[in-house]
Amino acid sequence: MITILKRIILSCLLLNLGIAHAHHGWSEYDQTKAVKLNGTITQSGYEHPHGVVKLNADGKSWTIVLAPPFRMENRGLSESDIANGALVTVEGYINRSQPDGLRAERITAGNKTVELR
Amino acid sequence: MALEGLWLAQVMKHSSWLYPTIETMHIWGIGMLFGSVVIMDLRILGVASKLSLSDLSRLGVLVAVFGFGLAVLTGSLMFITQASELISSRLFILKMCLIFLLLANAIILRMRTVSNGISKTQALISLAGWASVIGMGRWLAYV
Repeated sequence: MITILKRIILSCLLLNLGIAHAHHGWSEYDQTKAVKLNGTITQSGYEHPHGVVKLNADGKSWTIVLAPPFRMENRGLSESDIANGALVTVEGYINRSQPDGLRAERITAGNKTVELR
Repeated sequence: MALEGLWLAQVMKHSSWLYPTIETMHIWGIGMLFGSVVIMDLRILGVASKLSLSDLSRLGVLVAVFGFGLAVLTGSLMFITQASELISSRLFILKMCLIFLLLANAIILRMRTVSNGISKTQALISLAGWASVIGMGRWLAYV
């Protein structure tokens, strides 16, 4: 039993050491710098746990994290508003470890602006 | 990662009500597990010593195991929607490791027939550990 415990602890330590900082969680977004992007959606994910779209803007492809689908729906941003090819403006924060990742605070699609937080 | 492409992961992502429901059931599982763990650990630590530990455990272990199973099942369903992101999160790995350790701790505690100082230490580890696991899970949404 003790050997099994030792093995679990050891492999946990090794696993933890081996993990690269690839993770893009909430705190990874640099909240000191707000960025505004204007572009075309090339891939749309109106999905759980939060919406994600690919946006062509400023000559590159961004990964934009939005809000949970229920919240977007309640605030009037429907799936069709952020469909492929839609022209949108997003404002938010860039990921420190992933320069093409942005967490959007608000999105403007058509003539409506929706707060995402 | 390929896991996110699974049919089940796609259903979890795109059904409007499924994900929140699974989250709710995850909390049901946590409630059952942690609730019974607290009662059994407190009893081992000497609280309400008139209650028979074996009687208490008979129901307590059943509810705890059911709650644990529910939490693992629902947790796995949430995991597959964001597998690559979670697997590269240090906090997630730490949470999983702690769960394995606490599981081993619980099994050892259960196998021990006499209650002694070591049992009490194990009960304390269990209380602090499961509380931390819940905290880590909550923080996963933010860090």
